[in-house]
Amino acid sequence: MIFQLIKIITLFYEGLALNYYFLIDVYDFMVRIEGSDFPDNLYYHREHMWVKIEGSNVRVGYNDWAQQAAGKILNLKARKPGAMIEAGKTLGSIESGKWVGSLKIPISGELIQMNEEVLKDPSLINKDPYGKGWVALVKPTKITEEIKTLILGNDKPALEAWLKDEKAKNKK
Amino acid sequence: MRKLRTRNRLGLNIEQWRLIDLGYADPYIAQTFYESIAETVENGLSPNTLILVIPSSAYACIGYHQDLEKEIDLQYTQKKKLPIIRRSQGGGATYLDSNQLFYQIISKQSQVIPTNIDKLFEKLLSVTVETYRSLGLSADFKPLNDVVVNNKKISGNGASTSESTTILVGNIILDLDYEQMARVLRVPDEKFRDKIAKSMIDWVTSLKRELNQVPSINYIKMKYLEQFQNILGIKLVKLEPLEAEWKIFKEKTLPRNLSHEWLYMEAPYSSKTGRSIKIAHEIKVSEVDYKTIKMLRIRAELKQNQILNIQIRGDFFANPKESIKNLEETLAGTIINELNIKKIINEFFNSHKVDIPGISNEDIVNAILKLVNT
Repeated sequence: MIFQLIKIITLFYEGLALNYYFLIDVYDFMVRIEGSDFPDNLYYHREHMWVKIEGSNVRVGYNDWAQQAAGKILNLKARKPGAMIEAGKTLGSIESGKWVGSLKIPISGELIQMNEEVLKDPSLINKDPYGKGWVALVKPTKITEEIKTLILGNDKPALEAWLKDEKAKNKK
Repeated sequence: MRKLRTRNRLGLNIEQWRLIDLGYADPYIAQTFYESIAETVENGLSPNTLILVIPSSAYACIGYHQDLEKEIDLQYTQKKKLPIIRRSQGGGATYLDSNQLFYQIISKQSQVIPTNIDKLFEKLLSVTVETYRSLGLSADFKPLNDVVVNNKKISGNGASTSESTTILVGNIILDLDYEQMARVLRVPDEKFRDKIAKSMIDWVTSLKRELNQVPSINYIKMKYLEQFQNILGIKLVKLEPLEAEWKIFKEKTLPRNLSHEWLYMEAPYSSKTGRSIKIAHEIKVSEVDYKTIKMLRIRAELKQNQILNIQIRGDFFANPKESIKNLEETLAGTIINELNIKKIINEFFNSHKVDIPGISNEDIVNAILKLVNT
């Protein structure tokens, strides 16, 4: 009986330790700047979309700071899969409140897939901007040169400098 | 970018903006000419600009992301030869005519215009608020982007950003044709239309209704321009549009807005169910159908998720027969969430000994919950 109790207590603390290390894992990979989260394994475009390299494709979405600034996203309209897109140009439009703005794609290439769940419920971008709220999958055509123009997620000073500029613009 | 600057009494530089007063203009000019101006502002050919204009005739107008065929009664608009124009700002379908004074604010890199959208609306709509106050109304700003008098909406506003240029469009409502506002909308049936019209009367107002008369348009413009310059701290210089802007309008803006492709543009996918018309800030009229053995149709006027009033109809009969009316009265004022609605419905059915063959308590609960997703 007493050995079973010791085993249970040991397992309990092992579990706690695992959770602790998992949490450290998660927060180790997340840069938090002034209330907004930036996973450090992503690249960030100054027009507010993030980029994740997945083999020969890239996944893109809207960053945490931008979704907070936009407010609850009500509508999202985007170009269709198969379209050729150019970095810095419009992927689509978003609407929040009664404001309509553009989604600027950070990478040139072929649009392979739009996230159907986000098209059905654009507020997923607000709820989970780096997970379920991803926006599009792209087959890039100029990744080597264009990735150099993006801010790497683990470059905290560069992220902070960029956000400082954005916040200053938005404080007015 | 071409910038106009002047100095104030303290010798400090203040921005000068261009004022274009188009007077009474064709609906397409009234609703879309500002897009041509936005292009020249973006390209640095023109300074930041305020346009004042009144449509010379009526038209229906839909928001950028709306589905034309779902929103507008096309048979009616075709019969009445009413143009339909899709604007480049968001929001819902509306009917516009000569009883609104439009203000259209186009700016790029202005020190006086916030880039934060919430602050943009607050600052620019304070001009509208102060204009109404100077005309004798107790107007207030209601976030995100409404102006209200006695809690009734008295201005419609929307914004968009294109490249580096921000556009805010809105109106001073001189008078309203409530019947036409409801008539141009596509509705499931005429009772729904009546409900919308009634809701509009309850929640949307005008200068005429609040003051029993409409001040002269020149006086209203004068007040608006005074407030615009005071609040923004800028000087307006009245100028005519450039020839280049009219060229852009004729060759680009107008053809795009007349095109079938633009008007019938595919709307974003929507997972919303039923039919819902936004009346004012938090107010909407919604309808859902719920099919079980029988059919339930729930129609309600909602303030966010609160039921203001509700009608429960369908191909069923209830015993006692006045129980549905009593249930509707009981539900008025309720916040729609599963716990609340279940409790009310169950208690009502038990205490009033209600029997509706083919419809269970759960059916009514589920039908009402569907309203949230309209």
